Formats: sequence, structure tokens, C-alpha cells
Amino acid sequence: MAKYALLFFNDESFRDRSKDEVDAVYAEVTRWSQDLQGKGVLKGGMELQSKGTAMTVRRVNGAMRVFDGPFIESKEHVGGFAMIEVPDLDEAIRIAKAFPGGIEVRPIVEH
Amino acid sequence: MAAVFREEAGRLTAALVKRLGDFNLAEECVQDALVSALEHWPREGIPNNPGAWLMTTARRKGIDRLRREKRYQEKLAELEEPAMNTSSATSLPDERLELIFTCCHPALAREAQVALTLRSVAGFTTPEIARAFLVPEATVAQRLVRAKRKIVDARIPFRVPDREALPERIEEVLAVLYLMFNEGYLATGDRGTHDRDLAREAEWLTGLLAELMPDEPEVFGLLALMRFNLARMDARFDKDGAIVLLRDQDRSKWDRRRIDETFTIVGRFLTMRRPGPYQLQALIAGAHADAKTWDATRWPDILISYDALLAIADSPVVRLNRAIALWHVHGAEQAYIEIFRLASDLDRYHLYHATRAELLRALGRSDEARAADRRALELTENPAERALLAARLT
Amino acid sequence: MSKYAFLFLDDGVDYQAAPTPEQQKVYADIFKWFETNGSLIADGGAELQPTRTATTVRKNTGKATVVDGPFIEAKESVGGFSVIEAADMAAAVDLAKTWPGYGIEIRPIRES
Repeated sequence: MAKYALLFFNDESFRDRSKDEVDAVYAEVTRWSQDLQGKGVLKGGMELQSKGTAMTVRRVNGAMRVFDGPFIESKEHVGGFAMIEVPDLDEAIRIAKAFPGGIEVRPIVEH
Repeated sequence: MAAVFREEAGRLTAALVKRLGDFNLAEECVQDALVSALEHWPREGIPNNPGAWLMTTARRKGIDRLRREKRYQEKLAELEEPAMNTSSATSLPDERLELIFTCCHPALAREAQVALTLRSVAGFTTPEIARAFLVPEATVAQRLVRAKRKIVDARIPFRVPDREALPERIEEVLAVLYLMFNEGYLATGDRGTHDRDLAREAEWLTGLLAELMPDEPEVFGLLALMRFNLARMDARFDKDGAIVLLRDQDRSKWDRRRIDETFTIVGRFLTMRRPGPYQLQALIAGAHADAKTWDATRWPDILISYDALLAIADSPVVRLNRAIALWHVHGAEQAYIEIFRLASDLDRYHLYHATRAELLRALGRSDEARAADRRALELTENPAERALLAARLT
Repeated sequence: MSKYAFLFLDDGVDYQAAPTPEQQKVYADIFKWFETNGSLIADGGAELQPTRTATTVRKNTGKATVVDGPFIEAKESVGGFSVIEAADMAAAVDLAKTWPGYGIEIRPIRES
């Protein structure tokens, strides 16, 4: 069995849609995670607030400096994480495909 | 020897990957065996059972390698096991299908899929891959290292995908094979006579895939497409190495026997009644191959195939190619209107301008045609195509 | 107290070869940082393997495509994440400044 982190990416424009549409997306996400939870595959997850709320701390010439905003300027950004435990990448991809949004699948470092 | 390598290396790699559960390690054992074969066989002759020779050598080299590296201790038992001894004539179970799907996994970059497939399934060495794609050896070596590491680190499994995922995974494999084929097919005499013919290797790989998956019509579609193209090989270039267009080709140079054999494959996929883009492209190539002369080409049939292709795989390039059929069925003006719409998508594509030039010439707009030809020449990199376009402008 | 996600940043330098003594010191300091601040860490999260091990699944009008690589190609990337508890963003920033590594993006958690 292998552990993967799923990084959810979105461009936050979905929040501009109607309340019904936004609720529908959330309902699908809930279905997706409950399904995985039921199978014992989901090992944790979280949703983040919008990238506008981000602060970044970065080492510049040895010292930590504070910057407003996310660490990268991009249309799409990380909106949340989930951890899954599955036999292999094919299974992780299948799960990622079932999610209503873009996902980066990355194996974690197992200590 | 290349043919032997090609046949045996794939089987050997697949068997070792399966047993060792480590793609990189398996790969290195096979490479060691191939290098050893390159040293011994020219002197001693190709052994009666090359597969067994390679397996024995791979095991021996592998055991040496593993003894040197402590982390592989538990793998040692796998190679030393008597059951791996293939002195008998029976061949290893064929796990090349698993190998093909692993090498062509969508989690690998396209260049990596190509390099890994040529290496693991067709037994190409790193220099051979480098020469085939005209890239430095170090680049190929790096691609292979990265790909093998990703297979291990991200746990890309060694198996045939399950039913649900199979259609798109097959599509991925076919895309890799088609890219290989086109790369080889468009090549000019820059490659040495001893270099392996990439187009024929791609055709061999597709034939292997068809053998291993006899119920997949798209595989047969791609195979037929490749074979129709290969049947025209001798007529494609003139004595100066310039490309000869389909309409100007000497059809007596086409391999008619091959064309007839390929129609058997077409018949096969038609009975499966599961159309797809490669099958449709094969039908188009078949329609051309079937025509005794350019003027005898059944353009309405070709247009129907393009219409069907558009319905399942719409793209600017498909529309461009369809426009040529449109020209012959409904006239140059309608065709020109059709391709005019593709301007923004295809402005950097040399064949777009070359096609535009032909249509403009047909419409009697010769100055604009020359301008389009010049633009096409600017954008063309392939020397054989450049030669053709340059000739048109003189 | 509120929950904040710490997205630990990778500076994009490839540490494929054995870590230098400098880097080894950073790893040791990071280990100590987690020990020291254990009481503030609500979820240890995970350390991620480098972006060369990433696979991206994109969605476009219902169709999913699988490609090699991270979602965003950039020099900096997320190398791991944890959830910490802090009184407010200012306190979270203060904590992040003590991080021995390259950097952190701090984002409030959306509580459902």
C-alpha cells in the first residue's frame, strides 16, 4: 500500500457561480470523500480559505521575510489537501478522476 | 541481430520486471546482457536459443550487480532461484503487454514513454534511440533515468489496466506508437544505413500489440494505417531526397502485395463494429492506396471518412486534411472557405500554408499562392519537405 | 484559537544527490522544530516527494486528462503541509518565521 497526497487546485471562479451551483459542487465533493472514507481509503483532508487570505514567509539572504499573498501568482492555486492510502498510482488516479476538479497526485515520504 | 534483440529484449525485460518488482533493476540487467551479446555474438555467432543465452547472462550480471549493492539483497534470491533457468526450449510467459502499458503510462512524459518503450520492448540501446530522434545521448539517458525513477517513486504498477481504464490507456499506447511512426516516417537520409528504422519498429510494436490484444479494433486501425503508409515508402522521395506528393507518386513503386494484405486487416476491424479515429484514418489511407491513379481516387468516400473523424476527433489538423477532400468533391472555393477559418489555429503549421497555396493556385490566385508557399517554407524544418517547397517557388 | 495550514515550500533546488552537511543541519533543525512546537500542531500532515514524482489530473468540461508533472510548473513548489493552531494570522506568521526551512505559505483552514 502507498500513501498519496491529493492537492486540489481551482481558480476560485466557481465561487462566483450561483448558490445552487456552488452547493452542487460541494455536494459532489462530500459524496466523493464519504465514499472514500467508507472504504477506509481517506486518511485526512482539509479545505483552505481563498488565496486572498494567504501570507507567505520566505527566506531571503538568510532571513525570513513576510509577503502578502500566496507563494505563487497563478490563475489556479491549491484549495485543499487530502491523503489517501491505496495499492498503486492507477488507483490514486482513478480516485482523482472521480473528483469534481483538478488534482495533483504526489506520493508522500514514508518515514 | 537487431531483430533478435527486438524479439527477445522485450520478453526478457517483462519477465524480470515481473519477478524483481523493480523496473530500473530489471532494465539494467537486460542492458548488461545486451551489451554482452554485442561483444560476443559478432565473434561467436548468434546462439541457437538467444533468449536463453540472454536470460542466463542477465541473471549472471544481475547477481554480480546485486551482490555489490546491499539494498537489493532480497532480490538476489529471485535471480538465483533454479526456476529462472531457461536452458529448456520453452519460452518465458509473455508479459510484454504489461510492459507496454507500463512504459506508456500517462503519468510519464511523452518523450519518456517513447524512449522507454523503444528501450524495454524493442531492445534499442541509448545511442540508437538518440540517433533515431536526433537528440544527444545524454538527453535520452536522462529521460530514461527519470522515467524509471518515477515508476518506482510514484508506484506505477506493472500490469494491464482494468476494463474501466483500458480504452483510454490503449489510446495512450497508440499515441506513443503513432508518434514513433511519424518520427521515423518523416525522417530523411540523415540517418545511417545501420540505424534502426523507427517507422518499421513502430509498425512491429503495433503488430505485437495487435497479437497481444486481438479484440481491439483501434490497434488494428493503427496497424493498417502504418502499413498503408509503409507500402508507399519507395515512391515518397525522389533521387535528390525531396518529398514527392501523393498525387505525383509513381504508383508502380507501391508495394501492392502489402496493400492487399493490409486490406485484410481493414476487413478485420470493420467486423468489430467499434469505429475510432485510427480506423477512420486507415480507411482514408486505404482509399488512396486502392486508387490506380490520383484521378481515380474516390474522394467522396474519403470525405465521408473525414466527416466521421470530425465527429469523434475534431481538430484543426483534421479539418485541414478534410478540406483537401472537400476540394475534390465540392471545389476549391468551398475548400478555401473551410480552411480560412483555421487561420488562427494553424498559422504556425507549415502544411496549413502549403495547402492554402495549392488551393490559391487552383483558384488562379498565383501571387497569393507564392506568398503562401514562401510562408510554408519559412516554417518547414524537414529537409525533404523544404526541398519540395523550394522547388515550387523556382 | 484558529487553524492554519502551513504549506512548506521547496525552493526548487534538486537534492537528488546526498544532502550536503548544510542541508543535513536544516533537516535536523526541522525535526527539532516539530518537537518544540508539537503542542501547536493539530495535524502533522505529510512530507511530499519532489515534483518529479507528481502526476496531474486536469478536468476540462467533464473530460479528465492525466499528465506527468505538477499542476503548476514553477521553481517553488509545495514540499509538505501541516495544520497548526494559532490565536490569529499574526501569531501564525510569527511561528512560520521560526521555520528552519526555505519558506511557508500560511492559509486559514475553511471549517465546514
